[in-house]
Amino acid sequence: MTMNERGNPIVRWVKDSGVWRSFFRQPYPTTSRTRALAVMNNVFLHLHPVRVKKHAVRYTYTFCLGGISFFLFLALTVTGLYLMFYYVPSVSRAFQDIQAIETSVAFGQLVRNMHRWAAHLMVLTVFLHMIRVFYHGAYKPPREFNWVVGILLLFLTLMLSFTGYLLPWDQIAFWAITVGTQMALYAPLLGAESSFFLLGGIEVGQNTLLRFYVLHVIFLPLIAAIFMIVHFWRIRKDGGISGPV
Amino acid sequence: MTIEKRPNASADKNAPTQAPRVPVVERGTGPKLPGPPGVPGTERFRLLAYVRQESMVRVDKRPDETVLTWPHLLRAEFLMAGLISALLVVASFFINAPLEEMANAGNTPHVAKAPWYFLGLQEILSYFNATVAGVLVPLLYLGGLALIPYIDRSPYKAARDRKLIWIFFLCLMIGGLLVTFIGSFFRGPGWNWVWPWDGLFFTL
Repeated sequence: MTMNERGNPIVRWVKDSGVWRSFFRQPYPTTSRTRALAVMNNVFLHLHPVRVKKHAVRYTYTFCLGGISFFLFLALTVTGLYLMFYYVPSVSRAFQDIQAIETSVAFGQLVRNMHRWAAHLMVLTVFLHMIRVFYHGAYKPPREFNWVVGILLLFLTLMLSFTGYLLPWDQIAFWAITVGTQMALYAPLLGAESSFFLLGGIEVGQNTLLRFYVLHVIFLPLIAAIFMIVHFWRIRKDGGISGPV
Repeated sequence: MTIEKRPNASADKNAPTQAPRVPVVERGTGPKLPGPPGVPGTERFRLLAYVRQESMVRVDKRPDETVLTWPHLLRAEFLMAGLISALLVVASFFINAPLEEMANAGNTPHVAKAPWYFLGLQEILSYFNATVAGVLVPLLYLGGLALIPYIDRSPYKAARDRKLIWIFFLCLMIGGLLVTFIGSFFRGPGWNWVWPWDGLFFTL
């Protein structure tokens, strides 16, 4: 079937070519059938069902909080990746690297700002998302397990933000993490051990910086991504988004 | 087919207490299709589809209000993604992330505060001993949140039908908000009470 019977002959030639059609297997979807196919045949879109409940697309039902949280996670991945090119997790270099990012890296200051504000915003939106889900009673069967996964994701979000907080290696970072990790010192049974495990020493130092860096850029994002997959999968398997109160 | 009567008649089809709906066709109670009305055993049926019991396809699919993901959901998603991106870029253009002088273990600042989401814990640390504030409270808080679906077993969703869990949840939320707020804006050097207009000791 010729897809473009009218229009620019060059555009038509390109769009009728085997190369184009191997990339874009169908024309821009305009009918219910092609729109359904577009969602089903795309690996990213097929996270969604083909049809969703009408109330689910109302902004005031979800306030898009879960989606915004996920989007912020993606934004943090992209901006974080950019910052990683210019940052070395060493006590002698980290602070200077941040200064260099702010002063001599193209868009460095902007990207660092975006990473910081997106991180704070994500903690907020994850929390608000939880409140929204509670309000709608959406943790009720069959969604209990997904609620628990969500709480785990809240915890991971906090840990991601907390580990990132140390990386600039300035006074704010150092003392915030010192205060924060001192709480782990107080665990009754494994206090000293858990603190040592967390800090890699008896106080915040080079080992702490490296540990927090590795947790922040690899371990925690990976774990969070895995649980996000579970989270999204369960939404589908539990029959889509919950109904109104 | 039996439908349990509940206060929320409009509850969604995934509501908890309903057993999986298997259309049971009983004599005389079947759907009213064209045929002599009301005479038991004379209704006529058409076989529309045969769905195996263990199939992934939902047998109980009833006509409901749905819209196509493309464009309705995707439009919302792209709009919000654009909006948040714009917000982020604009905010980042005007407000710089804080950066003080280089970390120095020998130079303790007047007030050392944890990141804002832990300031509630730091505030509790000033009331109770460290085991309570550092271990017990966070464990009970996250544990309590995770346990909500197992505490509240009722099938009802309206607030008036689940007062207990609402009170529990509100206590966690308001309590957490309160201590975080106090720790963020009302604490200064030595963790002493400082009114926000006398000095703000808060860094994001």
